[in-house]
Amino acid sequence: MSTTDATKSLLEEFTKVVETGNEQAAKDFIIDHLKEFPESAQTKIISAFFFDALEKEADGIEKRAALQKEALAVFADIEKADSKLGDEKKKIELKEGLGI
Amino acid sequence: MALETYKTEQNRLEKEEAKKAGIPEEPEDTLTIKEIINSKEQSSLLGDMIEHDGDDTDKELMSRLVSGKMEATDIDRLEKFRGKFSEKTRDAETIKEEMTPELAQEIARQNPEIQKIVKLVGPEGVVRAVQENIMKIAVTDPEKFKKISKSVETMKSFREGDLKKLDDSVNEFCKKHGVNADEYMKVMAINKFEDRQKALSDLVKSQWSGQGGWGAMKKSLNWLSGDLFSTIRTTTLEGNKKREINDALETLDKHKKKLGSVLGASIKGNKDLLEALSREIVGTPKKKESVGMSDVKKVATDAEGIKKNWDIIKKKERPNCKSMTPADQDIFRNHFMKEQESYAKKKLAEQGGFWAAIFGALFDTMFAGFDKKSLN
Repeated sequence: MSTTDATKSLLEEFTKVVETGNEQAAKDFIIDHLKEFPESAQTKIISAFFFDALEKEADGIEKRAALQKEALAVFADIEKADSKLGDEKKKIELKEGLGI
Repeated sequence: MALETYKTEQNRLEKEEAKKAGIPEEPEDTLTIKEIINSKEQSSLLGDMIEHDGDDTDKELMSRLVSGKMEATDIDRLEKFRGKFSEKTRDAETIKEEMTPELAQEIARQNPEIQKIVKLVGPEGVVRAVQENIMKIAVTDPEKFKKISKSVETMKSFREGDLKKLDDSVNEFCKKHGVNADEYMKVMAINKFEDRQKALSDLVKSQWSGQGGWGAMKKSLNWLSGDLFSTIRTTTLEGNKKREINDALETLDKHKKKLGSVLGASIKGNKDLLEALSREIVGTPKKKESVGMSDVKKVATDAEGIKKNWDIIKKKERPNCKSMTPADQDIFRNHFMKEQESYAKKKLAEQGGFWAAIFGALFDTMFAGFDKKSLN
């Protein structure tokens, strides 16, 4: 089988997987057969997977940071209120202790 | 020697004039047309950019550039693309430098597909591939390039910049306050993916949606630190005061625990958990899913599709094709193939996303091996 024939049958096989509609199976097929694709296609396939993963990873990091910033700010407010009320409680307890 | 001195002086005066006229100075590393044309890589990239940005006249110019049959006037036309091209390639070079084997491994740790690819070609193989493609993406797909650049910046900041500082401070905070993400972590321990997703979503929603949610917590906090505090200061009934303060402190403690579990989860949690929490607390809308495989497949032409299109176009535009000379037939066939290629690429670019990139790579492979003689 010539290289072109091998590539042709690989593409046909891939089309069959795509027709099942199962995206994960299609991704697995491409990775499992990566080395059988011509070099220029390999480069593009690797880039597609990499950039997709990179964007997902960065997106997760940004969400995490937004959540942390928001939660930290509210936590700081809680601490402030906590300390104000705690001081007030101490004053009352002190007065009680002194019998005022 | 005198001529050189004259040219240098002339150059200096021109720059000075331009500065006075408010024309921005070109960066030192801006490429000249001659330099672009003399480099196989650069001229090919310029060709890609013109194919993407230029009009029909520019595309003819591109054919002459690729075939090395440039005309004298072409240089002037190319000038109009030069600045933009230099700027794009300069940006791409900066991002290219950030694509390192370390970054590939960092991504692989979080992504099983990249893990498999790294096993096959090594982190260096991944870097070679992405570096080769990033230049082309920079000149042909500015939106995609912008997204990649932003993602690279985010990763960098999480490794060594402000986002790392934030994460470290949350880590320290959690240690100091002994907070953890127990409830969320219990849910994460559910083995079955679908069950885990459902339980996670239910838990986050029950804690943060509606009346007992994030908005309610903030309102209660305002009241505790504002209105209640002023009431306590003015009231004279000591017994009531003490009870109210105790109630308020108890509420604050509950808020703390709830918030602590979010902060703990932001360090230990996985992506699904962060996504769910972020949606409820920060209000981040669920990210629009990119175009799926089946939709992209519909616009991705295969070899059979090209043959079908050939029959339609031939019948419509050249019904007398068989009586044409072999040379004319060849010209028509080549023109048809070029149109098919450009149409398929345009359609895939419109879809964008992961699957468009995959089908684009496979289309190129199919197209390169397509037997034109099968079109008769």
